[in-house]
Amino acid sequence: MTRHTPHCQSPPKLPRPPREGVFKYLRARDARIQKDSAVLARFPLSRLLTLGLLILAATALIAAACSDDDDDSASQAQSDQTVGSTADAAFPFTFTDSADVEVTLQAPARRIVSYSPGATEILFAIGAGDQVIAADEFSDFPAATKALERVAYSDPDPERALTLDPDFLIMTSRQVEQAPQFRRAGLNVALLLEPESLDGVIENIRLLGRVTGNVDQANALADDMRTRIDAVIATISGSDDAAPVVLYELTNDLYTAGPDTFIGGMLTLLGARNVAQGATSPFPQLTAEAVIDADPNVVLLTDAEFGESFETVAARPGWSGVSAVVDQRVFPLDPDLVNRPGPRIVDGFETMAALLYPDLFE
Amino acid sequence: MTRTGATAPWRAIRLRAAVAAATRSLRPAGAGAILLLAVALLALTIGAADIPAGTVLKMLLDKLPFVETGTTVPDTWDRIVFEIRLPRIAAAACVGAALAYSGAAYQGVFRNPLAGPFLLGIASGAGLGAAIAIVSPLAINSYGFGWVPVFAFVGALIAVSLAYFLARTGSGGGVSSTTLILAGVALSAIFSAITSFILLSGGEQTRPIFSFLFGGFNTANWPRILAGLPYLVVGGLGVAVHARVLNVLQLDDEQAAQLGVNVTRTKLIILTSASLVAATAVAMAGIIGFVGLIVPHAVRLVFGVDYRRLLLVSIFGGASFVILADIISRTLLDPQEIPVGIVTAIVGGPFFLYLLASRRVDHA
Repeated sequence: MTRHTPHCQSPPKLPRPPREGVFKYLRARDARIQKDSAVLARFPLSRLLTLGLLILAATALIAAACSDDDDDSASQAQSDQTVGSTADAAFPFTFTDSADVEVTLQAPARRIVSYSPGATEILFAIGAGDQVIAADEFSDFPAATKALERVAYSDPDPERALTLDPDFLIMTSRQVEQAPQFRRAGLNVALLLEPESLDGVIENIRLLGRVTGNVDQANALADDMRTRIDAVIATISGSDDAAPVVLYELTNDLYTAGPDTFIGGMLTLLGARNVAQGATSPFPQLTAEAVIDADPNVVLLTDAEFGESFETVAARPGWSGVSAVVDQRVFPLDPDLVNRPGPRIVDGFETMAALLYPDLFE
Repeated sequence: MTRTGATAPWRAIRLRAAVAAATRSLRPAGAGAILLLAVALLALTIGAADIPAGTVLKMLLDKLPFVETGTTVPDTWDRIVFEIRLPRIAAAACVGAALAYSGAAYQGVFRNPLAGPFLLGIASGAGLGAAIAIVSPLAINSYGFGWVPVFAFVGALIAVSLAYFLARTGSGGGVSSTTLILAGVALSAIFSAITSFILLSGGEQTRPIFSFLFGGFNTANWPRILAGLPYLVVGGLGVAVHARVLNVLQLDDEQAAQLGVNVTRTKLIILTSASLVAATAVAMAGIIGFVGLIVPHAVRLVFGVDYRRLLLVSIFGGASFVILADIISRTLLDPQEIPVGIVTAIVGGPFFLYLLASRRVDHA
């Protein structure tokens, strides 16, 4: 140990630079600076840096000022025209999207790229399917979407979008981060966040009708959905049964939809008590004990395609006495009907209502 | 015949010494066992459902032969205690014990306090293996066990052998600590990256991997525990029979070899066995960090460095620690579940730092 210590402490000797050399160099540099002052005064490194910084700052300021303007005009626009307002079918048409950005269309959108499976379904449902040129990989309904060009849902590439030469792009919650970049690339982007309620879906339908010029078809669809939703709610309000307790199962390790999600909202609208009531995250994982303790009457399996069924649920340890198992009210549910904020959401809503209140919907 | 007369007292002294030694090594184990029992009982009485602790104890007593407490409880309570909480506690105990035990073995083989299933890339290797098993057509479903532990074991073995061979210094089979940890960190990153790639590229059928990697005991059930147990026992025994040699291995490899230890072969057997144990833990409950690192340290700081004792007490320590962590993970955000790995890190980290600090004070 002791033998090694001094060796460790003294670093290998390096030739020390002669001090005088340093001073000589500095003096020489000073002389050079004075000599070439004409050049150096104009382009010293520090000044170049300062200049660069100034340019950057100016750009930032201008950008900030512009976005301020945007915000002001956006809030003004919002005050006299809300999302989905369809006063008339004339163009140019301007509306404010979810990011409070003003989006203008000089004519009905003819070359649409949709990054939102819900919006794609809406466009096809209102007869604007042939105005869509590309959609994300999850836009798989209706069957006609198979023929579309594909863009990436999760990490969309503005270059790819530019090569498609679209006149209108629809982005949704997954692409919030990318939307500004697409705008800067000169693309006409509308950010339509996933709606938090059925009303939001209906609003989106009316808006896309306006955007595509298919106002009548969109309004007819929206009115029909509104009627069907109201009918379901009216039927349920006639029930004097106790509120059904529901487990909306996403995975077999008990991930579920919390009360503040779109699905949670539909359950509330259906007068059901969500087993995940009280959970803090939007899609919480529940403990098996909490689920059994809450004793759901109905289990909705959106993980049926992964092999879950009444049998697998009944076979889980501790589940044999759960009301939904005893009463055999464990049902598979197509997640696309209820997760996707498009026209089929009403089908999902009616399906859930029929599963929760079998006596009222025969 | 004077010889026999002379040996008699020696024999008595030797016997007494042996008994004393046994007590010395058994006392910590006994303390560990009592701790584990207490923690398990505590875990059995706490949960999302409000079941009084006294009632739970009576329900337990009722299960014993010849005991009748005359308590009647709702059917739900019975199911919650015996079909939800009990298997969950058993799974947490198995996984905690396995991680701590394998961690102790790795630290012993590598003579490196930083070695552990997590840092050496073994957990990520096992995770990758398990992920491949889940997406491969071989897998039955995520409830069954099937090929998951086998693939996890292969992944763990690949990780540990890569780390081992990369860190081996040219002569004598010694292992460089720094290289070992660096290699482990790099391997860990590589395996995690590949797992993420599988997750991203595989689409919908990769969803079970997500829940698997987050870890936890929410879906614990007896069949799965029983399926994992043989692997744990075989791997555990593989390490246990070499516990004494692990003590010798704390010397130089050369010195150990002079004492008659076949260093390379022994290390290989211990590493393989420990990897089997660690991989089974990953297959049972996903990737749970920190347990394999800190529990053996805590045990070592409290009870000393004899590996026979260290391995034994690590079993109880690891089991108790993970059961406690699981109590928090299933009750803190009730009715919600927190991934248990988050709890082991948040609770275990500061405790470990405290132990480190207090130990330094002792030395000063």
